[in-house]
Amino acid sequence: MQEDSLAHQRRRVFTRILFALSGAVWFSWIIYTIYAVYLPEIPVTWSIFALFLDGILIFLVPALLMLYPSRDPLSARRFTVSIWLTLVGVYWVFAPIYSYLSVNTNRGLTLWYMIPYAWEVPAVGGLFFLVVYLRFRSLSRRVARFEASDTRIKVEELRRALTFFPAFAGVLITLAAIVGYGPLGSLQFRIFGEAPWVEVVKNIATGTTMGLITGVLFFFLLNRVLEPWLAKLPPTKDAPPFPLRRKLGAIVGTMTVLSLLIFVPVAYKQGQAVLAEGVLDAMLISGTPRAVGPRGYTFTVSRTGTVISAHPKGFTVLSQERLEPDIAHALVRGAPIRTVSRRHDSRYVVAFPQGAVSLVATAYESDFLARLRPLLWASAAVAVVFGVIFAVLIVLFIRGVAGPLAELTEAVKRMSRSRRPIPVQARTGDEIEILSGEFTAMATQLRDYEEGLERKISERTAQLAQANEELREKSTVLERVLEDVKRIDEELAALNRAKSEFISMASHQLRTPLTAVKWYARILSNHGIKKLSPTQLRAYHHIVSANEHMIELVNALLNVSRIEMGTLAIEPVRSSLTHIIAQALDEARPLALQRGVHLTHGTLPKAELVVDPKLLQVVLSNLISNAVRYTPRGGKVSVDLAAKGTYVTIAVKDTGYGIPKREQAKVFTKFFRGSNVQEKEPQGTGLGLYLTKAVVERMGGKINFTSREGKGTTFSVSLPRSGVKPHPGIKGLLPMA
Amino acid sequence: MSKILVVEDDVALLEALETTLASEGFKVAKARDGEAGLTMVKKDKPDLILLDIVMPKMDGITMMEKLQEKPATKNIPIIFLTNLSDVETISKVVRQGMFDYLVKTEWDINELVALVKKRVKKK
Repeated sequence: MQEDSLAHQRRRVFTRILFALSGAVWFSWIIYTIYAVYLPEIPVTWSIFALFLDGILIFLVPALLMLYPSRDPLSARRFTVSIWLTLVGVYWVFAPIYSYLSVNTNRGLTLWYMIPYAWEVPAVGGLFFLVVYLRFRSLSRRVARFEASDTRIKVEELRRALTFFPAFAGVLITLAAIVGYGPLGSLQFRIFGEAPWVEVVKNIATGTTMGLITGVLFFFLLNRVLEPWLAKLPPTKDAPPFPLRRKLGAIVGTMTVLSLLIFVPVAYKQGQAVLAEGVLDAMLISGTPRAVGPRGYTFTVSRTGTVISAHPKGFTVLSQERLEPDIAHALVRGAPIRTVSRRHDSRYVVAFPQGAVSLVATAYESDFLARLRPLLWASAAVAVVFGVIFAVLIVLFIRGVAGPLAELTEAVKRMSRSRRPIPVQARTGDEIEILSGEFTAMATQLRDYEEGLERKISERTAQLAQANEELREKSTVLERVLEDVKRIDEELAALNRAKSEFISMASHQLRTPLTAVKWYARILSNHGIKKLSPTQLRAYHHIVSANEHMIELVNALLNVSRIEMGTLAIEPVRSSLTHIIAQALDEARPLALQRGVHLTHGTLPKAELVVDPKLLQVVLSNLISNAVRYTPRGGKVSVDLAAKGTYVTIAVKDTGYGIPKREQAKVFTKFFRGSNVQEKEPQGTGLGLYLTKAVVERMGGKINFTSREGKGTTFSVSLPRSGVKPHPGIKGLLPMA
Repeated sequence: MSKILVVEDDVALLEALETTLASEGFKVAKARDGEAGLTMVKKDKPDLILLDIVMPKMDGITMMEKLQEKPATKNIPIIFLTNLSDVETISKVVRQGMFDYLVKTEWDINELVALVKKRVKKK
């Protein structure tokens, strides 16, 4: 989110200025350091410290830029700026101090020499700032563009540019050093000689030139080469930048710079060592003036400043006043010091007090550096070559690994989106090739598998559809069959009803003529049965009994039809079972008496039950009369009542003929008559038990029997304690014998 | 001498009843359907009616209802003689024990005559 508030804009501008300034200072510092290598008239410790700072600047800042995981470009820049600012501040603080300390002339000249140092920095810095600002305007526009678009990704690009910077910086610095020192340095020396004011001009000129060149080169490279190159890079909207490349590039740059960094102090140290060697050498031969290099020499000086002996090659110091400032300074100090003064073409002056006299030696660094220069060049070359080789290797690696990997990644992404295998073939001859080959094979397999699966699914679906069709057909057939069955069932029911109705009607019609026979038989007997002969009498009796039988049969048939047609009414009321049983027994007593059968009952507990008393009476009468009829003279019939659990059971027990075992299953069927009683008791419809069972069951009860042929039979009727449910009907039961 | 009216469509039964009742000393009138029965009642009011139910032209129950309408004939005792035994018919007929309802096949004719004697006497 970009706030375009005024404060934010001002902050941005300020940040940019600081950015530029620090960059400029950085550059001047680097150049200065390189310079110092060649003209070592500065205290060793300070120069090492300077180099250390240099290292920080060269290595640390880009490293921080590389590593700083910032989402907000502003904060990243701020961070960079603050670091640079710290270093700038350090430089600005220490540079004058350093300048002061490096001056090795008398105090009078100290101030004079301090001013150029103080001037140099702002002068060079200012020029840098100018250059930077001029160039930065276009850069700022670019940065603004970056910020306007997809910020994060564009800043990534910027960071990328900056991380490549160390590599280019290293190259630039080397170039600058080569260009700056070589021609310009010697030119300046030749033209301007040793005058102090020349020093100032020289420094300014050198610094400016160096600054300009490096600045121009840097920004030229950044804008004309780097940026177009950056612009050519693919847009990073969809695909993230491949971190591998960037990381490796940063490593390359840093390595290059590091190698330079290593070479600088090493070279310096070498120079120092060489110089020290030369000077010390001369010093060891005390008292004898000898040459130190082509221009340096040793001599002995008294405390008053009189040169005692001098090298024949060098000039003779005659008096203290004429002693060169740095020599005089060394004498004044009275202690062995090694000072480097740039004023005198990097000359070393060493003074050793030896009692009354001091031993002085001077040596010109440049004389000794002749030996050093090739070494320096070689080191620089090695560093550069090393860097280049490394860079090439990295690039090759990038191309060999990151490239194919990126391709592979792309292909995988495309495949996952389009769901079709895209063959990837990386001809790298290594694991990546294997990986891409395997991947393609796997993708192809997956596709085949998918296709196979789809095919199977469609096959199965077709099969299922067919099976479904068949099932539907079958179910249609089944439905038709069911309809037929229903129809047949209905027809059967209708048929049954018709049958029952017919029997009912026919039986009913029979009753009138049966009544007629009954009454006329009676009339006959009324009018003189005594007049009949025995044969006539017998005939008469047969007629009467046959008629009774017929009436019974018709009644029974009518009862059957009433039950089957569901017209039998069941009207349960709370009744005394004892009473009903007693009544039934009373009814049967005349018959029992006639047959000589003893009729009895067990203890009848007082029991009440919700039953239809008429129906129950008929049932019991039927059972009792059966029992009496099918028991021989002298036998016994007893009725018992028991209440057991949820049922009340009435049992009719006789000591009669029993029912043969093989016929027991048919007892309750229509027109059943036991084979062993048909002779003894011809009268019997065979419908009694069928009706009894039907009635009992209609009342919700159960009937069963136990019988042994020749011993007797017991019929048990069980009725539910909960009572008998009513059933609507229009007819009752007709009496049966 | 008591007068009995027998209303019955079956000839055999009608004759049987006439013979038996006559031999017991009753005066018997006959009718073969409800209409004829009503005519006979008008002609000569009986002391008891033996009434069949299922008859052509007019059934026994309708004849009874017709007799009930007239105060003169309202109180004639009726014994229904029928082979019908459905609850509906019975309930229509048996009112407070005023009429008897006999199922023909169950009754011996002598018993029937004894009942007639009883009912007639009660008048």
